[in-house]
Amino acid sequence: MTLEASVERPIETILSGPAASTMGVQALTSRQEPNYLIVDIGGTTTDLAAVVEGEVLFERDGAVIAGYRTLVPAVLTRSIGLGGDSELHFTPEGGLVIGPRRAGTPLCLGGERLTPTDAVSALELAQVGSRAKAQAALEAKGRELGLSWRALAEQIIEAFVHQLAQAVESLYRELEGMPLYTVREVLNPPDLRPQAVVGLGAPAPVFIPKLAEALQLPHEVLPHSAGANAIGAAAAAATLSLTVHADTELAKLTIPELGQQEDIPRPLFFDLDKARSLAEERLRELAKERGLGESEEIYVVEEESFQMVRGFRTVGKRFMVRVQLRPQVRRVRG
Amino acid sequence: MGKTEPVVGLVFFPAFDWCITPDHPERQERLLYTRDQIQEEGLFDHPRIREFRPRLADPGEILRTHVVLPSLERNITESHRIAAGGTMVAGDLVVDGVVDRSFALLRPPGHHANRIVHGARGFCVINNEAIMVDHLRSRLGPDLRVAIVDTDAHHADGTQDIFYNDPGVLHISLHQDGRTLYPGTGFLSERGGPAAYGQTVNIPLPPGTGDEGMLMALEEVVLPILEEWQPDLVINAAGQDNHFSDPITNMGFSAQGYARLTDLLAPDIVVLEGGYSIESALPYINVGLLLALAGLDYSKVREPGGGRRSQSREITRQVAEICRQAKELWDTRGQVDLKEVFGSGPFFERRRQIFYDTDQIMESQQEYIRLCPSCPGWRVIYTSSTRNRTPAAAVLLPWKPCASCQGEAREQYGELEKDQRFSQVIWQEPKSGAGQAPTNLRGSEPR
Repeated sequence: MTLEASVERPIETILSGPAASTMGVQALTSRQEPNYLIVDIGGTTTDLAAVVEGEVLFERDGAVIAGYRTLVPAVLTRSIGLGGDSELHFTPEGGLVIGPRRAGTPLCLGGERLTPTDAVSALELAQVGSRAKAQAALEAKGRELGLSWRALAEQIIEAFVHQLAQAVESLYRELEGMPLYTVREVLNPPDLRPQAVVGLGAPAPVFIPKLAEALQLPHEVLPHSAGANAIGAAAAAATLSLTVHADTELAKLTIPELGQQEDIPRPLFFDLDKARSLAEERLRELAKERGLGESEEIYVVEEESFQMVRGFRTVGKRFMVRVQLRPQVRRVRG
Repeated sequence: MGKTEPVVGLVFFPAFDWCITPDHPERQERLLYTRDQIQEEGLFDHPRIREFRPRLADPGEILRTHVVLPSLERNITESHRIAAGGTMVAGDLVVDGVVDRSFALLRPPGHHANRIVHGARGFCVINNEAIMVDHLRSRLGPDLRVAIVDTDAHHADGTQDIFYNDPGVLHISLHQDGRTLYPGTGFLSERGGPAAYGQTVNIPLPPGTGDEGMLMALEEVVLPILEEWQPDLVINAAGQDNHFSDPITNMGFSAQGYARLTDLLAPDIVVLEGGYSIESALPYINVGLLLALAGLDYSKVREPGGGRRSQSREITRQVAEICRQAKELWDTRGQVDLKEVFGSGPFFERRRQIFYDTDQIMESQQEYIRLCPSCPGWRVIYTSSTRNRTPAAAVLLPWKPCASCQGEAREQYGELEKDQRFSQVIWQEPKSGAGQAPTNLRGSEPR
């Protein structure tokens, strides 16, 4: 969105962080697959988002903030408490659960508690802090559990990847469980499953290849991983959307985004095609007014058309068309 | 009673792209206003109401319950398979303990579909709740006791037909008197077949019956019968066409009445049937029903045109008399000499003409039930219709058949197969898998 638009509708900036990450991925990735999974691994949490047919999935009922559905358009992300700085919980049966809380700074970086990052450091999967400190701490904990430091470190990495893979599976289960209201959709449910994994965040180079192996998918770890978020914000072009509701019985149409209500001149001849072209025309005007390019591609996000029958007689039709400027992300690398 | 804060699974499938004809009552937008109302009231967001996706029923799951002529493919659309599949999802959700109660809010409906199907009757081709009951029995075993309470304004003749000789099912139908409405059946005298006599209960209500009459029938007949019969599951086939604004019936129920009914009946699984007042009634009835199912306050639900309709004193008197008779028939069902009703065998014969209003078909049926002392008895049905003129024959085994009925049925099937007069000879034998223990049945915890 443009700066002016954010002043007018500041609420639309909520959850812009995760949105920027996904745009950063779109700007930087070289994956050509239409469907892929975005995994942003941080110190405290890992965020998952899904790209389907080249588009990032959005929340159906808008962003959820503190349990409230806001209806504000937002990228669908699922956050899990799993990251480089997560707590480790050893179960009496010899199992290991990572997270969801943060343990603090890893030992190898001068912290006080063992974290996944220490396992990474000790195994030299990446250069992080003091490898000696990490190894010493793993040795101490390993003695307690009857494991070598190496076996323990490998167990930590394995548990991390396992939990991540489970979170990915539950995200796609959730997406596939979303209700469908037409016969056409139930017969041909959209294929949402990823064909590749794209990772970002500092721990990504270590964990993404292993996650991709577990999921049996090709992968890519983005360059400039740590700054992908900022790159996304800079590369994204502004987008706009608008909804036309038309009721031919009342001969009225409304565009809530513009706060407009107007008459439908010849309601009998008004149909879905007319509703659609009207929506596109108004969106183009609005884009021009807001100083956005005229060449932006407009696409129909959603549309519905129903007859209204009263007492066995069709008295009118009801249409809903939502159109949007296709969110454009300038490619940062070829 | 179950939990005070039940979690409700909603299998919502409005089939926005399916209709009989665009201006037929069973049309695309039938559940559109219902969806909008549920959404606007925030019920999709309520933590105790969870939405689930339907699935496609397999042909085998449909043919476990129905005999479809000339073939399944020639009679059903994908939408029918999704409605039946969605109803099975609703059943599974409850018996697997995923939710406490469920509501299959979907279309097309099914309660006028008989066991034998030549086409569509009363907007129905296959019977969603019957398919679900047989699905649950195939999973959990044939001893499952299921009560179906049908509260559609039209007599549930299809469901009655499918279970009329099935001792595992209690079928209660409350409806507008058959002398005044399609399908013209559902009288007190229809009480079930020789193996399930008395387990078909009909409560025909006079036109103009309002909430008062319906709740009287519920409290004085339905609830005491359920209390006595002790089902493992109570299914409500929830037609919504008893509403005062429904265009094709003559009853006087309100949205409040339906919510109160749901509250008192406390069904485990609700399956939508008819209801064609799509703007003035359905949105409010469904919101009230969902609130009542989830144990939430429904007292503020009001439809346009003003809530309750009072019924005349004469109607109250008539309803009271019907309730008295229905209850008496139930109480005395064990005292009836079945030999007098069904003869002394070896077979009970039933001949019927069945009209398919939606598809304008007339079917002729001849049925023979083996009067067996040790099981519900095998059956053979000969059927032909104006659509399928060459007769077909179906040999049906009940759940839990005895060895001698199995032998006799097989022998009969072998003979019929050699007989050139029949276009098809169908064998139907319900089977139960290695039933795993159900987790959420009424029998397992005190009501």
